[in-house]
Amino acid sequence: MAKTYDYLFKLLLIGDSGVGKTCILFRFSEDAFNTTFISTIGIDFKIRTIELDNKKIKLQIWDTAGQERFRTITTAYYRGAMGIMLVYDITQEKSFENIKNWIRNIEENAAADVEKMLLGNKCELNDKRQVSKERGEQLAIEYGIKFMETSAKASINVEEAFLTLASDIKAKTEKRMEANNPPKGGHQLKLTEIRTKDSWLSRCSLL
Amino acid sequence: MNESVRYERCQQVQLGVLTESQEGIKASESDVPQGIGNVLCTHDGVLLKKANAEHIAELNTSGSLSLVEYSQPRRRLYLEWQPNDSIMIADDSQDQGDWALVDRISGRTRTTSECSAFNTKPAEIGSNGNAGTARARIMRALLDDLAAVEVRHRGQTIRFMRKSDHGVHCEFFFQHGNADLFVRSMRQQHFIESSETSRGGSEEYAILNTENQKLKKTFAELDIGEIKASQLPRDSWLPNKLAGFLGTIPDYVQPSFQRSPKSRPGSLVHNDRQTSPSDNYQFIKLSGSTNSACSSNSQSRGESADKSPADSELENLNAQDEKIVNNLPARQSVHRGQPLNEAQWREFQTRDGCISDSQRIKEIIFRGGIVPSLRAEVWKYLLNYYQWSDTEVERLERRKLKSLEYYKMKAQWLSMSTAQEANFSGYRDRKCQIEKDVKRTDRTQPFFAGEDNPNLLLLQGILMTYVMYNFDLGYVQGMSDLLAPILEIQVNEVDAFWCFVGFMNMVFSNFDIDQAGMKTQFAQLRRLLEVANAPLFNYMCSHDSDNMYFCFRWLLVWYKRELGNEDVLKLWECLWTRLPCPNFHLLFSVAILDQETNVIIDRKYEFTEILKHVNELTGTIDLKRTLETAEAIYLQLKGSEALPNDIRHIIGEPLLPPVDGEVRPEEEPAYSDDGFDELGELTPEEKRRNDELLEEALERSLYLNYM
Repeated sequence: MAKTYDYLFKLLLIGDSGVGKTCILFRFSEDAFNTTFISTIGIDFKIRTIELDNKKIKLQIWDTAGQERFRTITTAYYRGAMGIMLVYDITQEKSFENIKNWIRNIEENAAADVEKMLLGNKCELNDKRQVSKERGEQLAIEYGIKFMETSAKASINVEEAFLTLASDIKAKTEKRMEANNPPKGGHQLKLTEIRTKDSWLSRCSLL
Repeated sequence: MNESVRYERCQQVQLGVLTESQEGIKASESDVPQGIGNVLCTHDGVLLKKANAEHIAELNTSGSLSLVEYSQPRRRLYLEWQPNDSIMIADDSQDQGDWALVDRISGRTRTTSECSAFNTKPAEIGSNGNAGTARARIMRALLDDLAAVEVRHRGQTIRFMRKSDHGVHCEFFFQHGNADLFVRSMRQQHFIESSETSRGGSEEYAILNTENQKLKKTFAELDIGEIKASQLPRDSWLPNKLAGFLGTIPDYVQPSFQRSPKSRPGSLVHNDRQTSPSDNYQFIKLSGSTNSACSSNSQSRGESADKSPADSELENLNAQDEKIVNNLPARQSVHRGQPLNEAQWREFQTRDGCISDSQRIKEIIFRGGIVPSLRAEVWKYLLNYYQWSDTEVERLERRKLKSLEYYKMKAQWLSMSTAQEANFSGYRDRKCQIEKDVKRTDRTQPFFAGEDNPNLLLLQGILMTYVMYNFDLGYVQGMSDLLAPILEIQVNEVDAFWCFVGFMNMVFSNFDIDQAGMKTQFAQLRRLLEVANAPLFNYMCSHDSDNMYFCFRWLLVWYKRELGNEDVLKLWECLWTRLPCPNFHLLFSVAILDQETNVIIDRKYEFTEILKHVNELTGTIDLKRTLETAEAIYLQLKGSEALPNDIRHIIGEPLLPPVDGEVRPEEEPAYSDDGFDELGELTPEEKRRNDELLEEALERSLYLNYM
């Protein structure tokens, strides 16, 4: 069967309950916003294929339940994730404070080389804002990751955020592949060495 | 948050233990291994994937992994990983820095005691020039400090868990081939012992401490070891005779598959082991996976199947056993009936208002549900709020008492001051989560639809009161889903609350902190599927999907998200009868999967596709047909003469007489009456006082509502 894409990236949305993970995903996958909310139970994913530099990239985006109680189940899905969106709600201080816990969670459960990005969602609710944009930026700098304020409802930056994350993963992937295929055939052992450096990279090329 | 507090406390204790053990083993310079060690097993081309912060620079570097025995200063076994310079990437430093970012952060979380506990401090080993640097690059851990080994990704990844907190100490990736030889070698030398397989493809081994290594060797020489060492974890299939034989082996050398049937189906962590003599075994706690749900997963590692003779021997036994078990009687056709109607209901009522034949009523309800007009009334019985034997007078009395109790609890949270709340994070978190979820529960149902719907306040009030009723459980997502239909039927908040309490008593364990209840159910469901639908079960095993995680939502909220509202009401009332057997809700899952068997197998679904497919079944499940299938499967199991005891236990059938040495599963605890016992024992004085309290509480509650 012919492949309809060049890469498949597994992404993950995590963050406190009610920050809008499902809405962000719905905005990105269906370009829609549903005002009849429903909490996520368990785990689900959506697929969307995007195109970057003439490469078709299939994004498989996993949505998880936010409540701490379910982490034993949700963390099972961290494995194999290549990118993680950490989401907080700019109108909820607590959800921002908890980002550091989520980062810790990632460190314990996801691959060390996973690409991360911080999203401050619900930015259309400026009058209810509890977390300034600067604080979001500062935290992102602290962790060395990218940051955007988004609004699933007003469709602000959602597309951009996913494209940025996907593009960073793609760059990383291709950098590896390039190193893998130098102009003149190099040391064979070295090649194998590089190819298996990333747990997911090898899987990626098999898809 | 309650959990996080606990966690921190737990951490402190563990740190304490760590320090103690350090003192115990005198982890000083003099304890660092000296001289040349004796390499017991080794494997080249192994990438270091995860390790202590000290080894960041070596991550993703290839090297050799060995088990080395040092005799100086005393006999010690170390796990050693040494980078191999000849295959180092020439100049990747730029890259490495970029990738090491994450680990710099994780490095912060490590404690110095952890670093020194594993002798990984470069300074301790040597600090003079090149030699020192080279030695520092060796990652070395005392085997006694490690608890378990986990093999995953078809044997390509191997992880070692710390004893102190069962966290990952280090992880390796086998570039060439897999870890099988390494693991087998460790197993044969009795350094490790198979504990359980985990989710699809992964396997776990407990690391034996020095004492046990000796013991194991002794037993191996006695020739029992062969069975133990092989240990395909096909626990429940073991014929009773073999199980009985193994039962005579002392507990501390008993293989994990020969565990008591009670702990076998679900339990993620077998703490019973940890209390065994001298704490011989450390079973690892694997976050996010059900070790439990894996009794017979030999296929999932098909590619790396190096089987010892004992392995295949066991498989033969299993095959025989399977033959017997899968010889289920043919599926009968089962038909649903009419719902319990008002005329029938009246017939069952005696003159003083008792319900005469509750068993017969439950049978009617199981077969056909209840007509909508009777639901509010009959649900109170099914959910153990009313007792079948109550006279009308007693019922009124009960309701009054329960109202009093409810409003007392409601007043507790309503009267919480801002300052109290500010100083009570456990309460605040629960309240906050309830507020988030009430807004998004069943909002498409007319009863809860629209802005400022007063029923949302009721929903919130009941959940808050439940927090005061059961603060330990508090509020967990999914509970609002369980309450909403009850409130919709009962309308009255007191009635809805006590019905909800009854429902929660049935599904309490779904919401446990450690999710143990869910894990048990995954394991039970897996066993039921194994017996009832072997083709699908085998398919799932060979496609790493036998952990049953995709049924999570089904089981957590009893199919609430899968069915339309009317069907949810009907299904729940059937399940509340607890007929025809306990855990019928699991058979309902088996029935849904049964109907999807062909789709899953024919379309060659993998785990993700199965999850997607299962999630997309929402709204397509035919309730009547599925209930019929579930009952038919139940009758098949019930009719099977050679049904194993663990399945009998799940479906509430009498157990077969145990063979010597076999442990009988404990009976399920009787369904509690939940505090109704005091009824009828009140003196007139107490009654009067209660009435006063009730009035007072009602007034206070009303007043507070309008504040």
